[in-house]
Amino acid sequence: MATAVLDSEVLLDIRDLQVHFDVRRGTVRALEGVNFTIRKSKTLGVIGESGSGKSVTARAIMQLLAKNGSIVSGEMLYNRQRDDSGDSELIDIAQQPSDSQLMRDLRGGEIAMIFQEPMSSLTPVYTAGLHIGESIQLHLKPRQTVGDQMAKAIARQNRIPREEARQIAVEMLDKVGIPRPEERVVSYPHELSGGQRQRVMIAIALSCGPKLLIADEPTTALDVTTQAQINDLMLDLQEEFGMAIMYITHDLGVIAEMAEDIAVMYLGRIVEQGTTDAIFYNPQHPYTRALLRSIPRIGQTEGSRLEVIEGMVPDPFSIPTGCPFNNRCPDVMPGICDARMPELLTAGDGQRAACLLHDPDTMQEVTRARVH
Amino acid sequence: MPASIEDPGVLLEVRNLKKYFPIRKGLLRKVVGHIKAVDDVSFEIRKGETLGLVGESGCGKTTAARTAIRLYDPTDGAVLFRSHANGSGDGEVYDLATLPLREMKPLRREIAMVFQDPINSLNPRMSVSDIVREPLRVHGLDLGRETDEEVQGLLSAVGLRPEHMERYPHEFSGGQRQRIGIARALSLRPSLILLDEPVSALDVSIQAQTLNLLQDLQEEFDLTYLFVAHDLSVVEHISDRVAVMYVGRMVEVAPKRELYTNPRHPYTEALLSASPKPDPRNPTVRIPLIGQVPDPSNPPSGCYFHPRCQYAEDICRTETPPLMTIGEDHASACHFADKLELQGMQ
Repeated sequence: MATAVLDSEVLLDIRDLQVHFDVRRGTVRALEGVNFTIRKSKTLGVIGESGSGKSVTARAIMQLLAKNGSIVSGEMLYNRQRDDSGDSELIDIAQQPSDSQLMRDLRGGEIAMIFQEPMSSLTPVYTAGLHIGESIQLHLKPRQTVGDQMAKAIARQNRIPREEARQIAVEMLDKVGIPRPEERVVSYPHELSGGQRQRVMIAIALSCGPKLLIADEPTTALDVTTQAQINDLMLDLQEEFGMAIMYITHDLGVIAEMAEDIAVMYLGRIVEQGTTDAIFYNPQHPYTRALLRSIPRIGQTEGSRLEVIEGMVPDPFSIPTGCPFNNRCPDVMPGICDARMPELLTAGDGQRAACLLHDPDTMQEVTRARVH
Repeated sequence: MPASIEDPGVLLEVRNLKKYFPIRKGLLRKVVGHIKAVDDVSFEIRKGETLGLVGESGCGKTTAARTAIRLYDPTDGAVLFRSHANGSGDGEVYDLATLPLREMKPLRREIAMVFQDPINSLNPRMSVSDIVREPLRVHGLDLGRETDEEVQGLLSAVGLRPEHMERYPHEFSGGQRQRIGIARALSLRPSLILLDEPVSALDVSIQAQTLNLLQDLQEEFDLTYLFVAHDLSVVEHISDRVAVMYVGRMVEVAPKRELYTNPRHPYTEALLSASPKPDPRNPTVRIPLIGQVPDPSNPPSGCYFHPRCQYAEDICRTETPPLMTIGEDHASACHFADKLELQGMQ
């Protein structure tokens, strides 16, 4: 067991997590030292472009990596509260085999997950197939009624008889705002709208009272009006149940409304983490700044061009040396950024940023070199 | 008054356009009803402008746009398009809705389309060069060697390099593939391009690059855009005017600034308030929108929006409001457009 001590407000502390995937062309270093903390009952927003490792991080926390993926190093310290005694124990999820009894208890019990609504496809931001299948029921099956599927999941998670679980299913449907829940439990998924299906998934996820809800792009496939309803619902339920949420998205507007803290990912690393206010109003990493400048904002773009981040996210086999962002960075220091790997260091309004501009030793050298 | 096709500055005028899809049932596939995907929609696009078309999924925005360029045969209505093919001043006006398909072909050179999904809209077995010159070949304009230069010029206009010509779509990233699709759309030098969700499958940083490219090309090639999208901030950025659709009908049209700051239809107000704002210090006050989008094969009586509208009164349940001009260049289909004080975005 881990010996580290966690602040009692911290629910999950990820330290230097590395995840690799073996593919035909070699090894993809999907996560290269991810560090962040999730506070109890708070929402951590994780933002990043495709390929940044957001979803891999989520699946690593669930111990649900694909067969060719493995946690190479790092810790995922989970602060488990014993409801009966009030004591807490520290579990390093990284050390737990995927099929261990402990992991089965945590997964779907204390840590629940919802995904992008699978049956509609308005925005194919995602490569398909990435998160479908696996050992636990992640999506609604088309041939079973909603009630049967919910009762099955709830009975398994809470170890109660199916009949009892059915009662809970109806209550949960009511909680997530589905009208006439007694009638709805006998509907099939195709009879529900995309928003309602996502509500059902949230109901299943919350039915066992998780301490952490991982939401991976939960509203990306939904319309803005439905998205607003689902996000408001998640905030209401968070207040009621007190769970922490890890909210993964690429949408900066959504994250501003949902999260207390934000972690920005780029190529398998956290490049900046801090409070939502600090990230939006005083971003310290050039990537965060560029991302914030590149999005169109209503009312602020009259006749203007968007500022762009030059180039594109490199493919996993040609990641530049040094800071992975150096080839696209507007503030790059040649000879330095392509040679050294920046650490996450405190900067700005108490957030942490992985940029050599915030590394006092490096900057001292740069100043000295300029003087000479 | 909205402009009409009599005005030489108007490139396309859509009048009372309808597109109904039949619902067939039973052994004899009898028609038992219709999905009114587009129901009495009118709008015009002026030369050189960008008209944004927004609405939730299933509202008919894509069908309306595709019917307007005769990719679908309209059920009813007129689509008046000003062709400049003969190079004469104001051009000639054709009704695309009724034109025989044979006479449609030369006009198709003036209208192009860019699709949402850049990978599925490019043939994986054709090289970039073949993809971009295919429209030229179809119209008998592929001159072999000479056309190579043309294709190179198009590729460099969209930011691709000449050496990309002989590569295949799978060798490119999503953003580059969308550039290939744009180069293909430009190949016949169209005057009007229908862009259907062209950036919604792209990453944030690539989205910005693509939007800037579209703006540059509009200026360089003197293009007019019909831009269909669901992302209100993207639409606001690129459009001159914005039209909002709900269940097959146009509910509001106005210049973008006017529409976003001074909406005159309750649905537009709700849509704007649902749009997430990337500013944690000033969150939007949401207008609650109860219930679901109605089924277009069985829409509610009166105003289609009344079951979800917090301002609905008796007249809204019985009478369908027409799209009425309520201000300079501003039209709304609401009985109370003049009376309601609606909240826009600041």
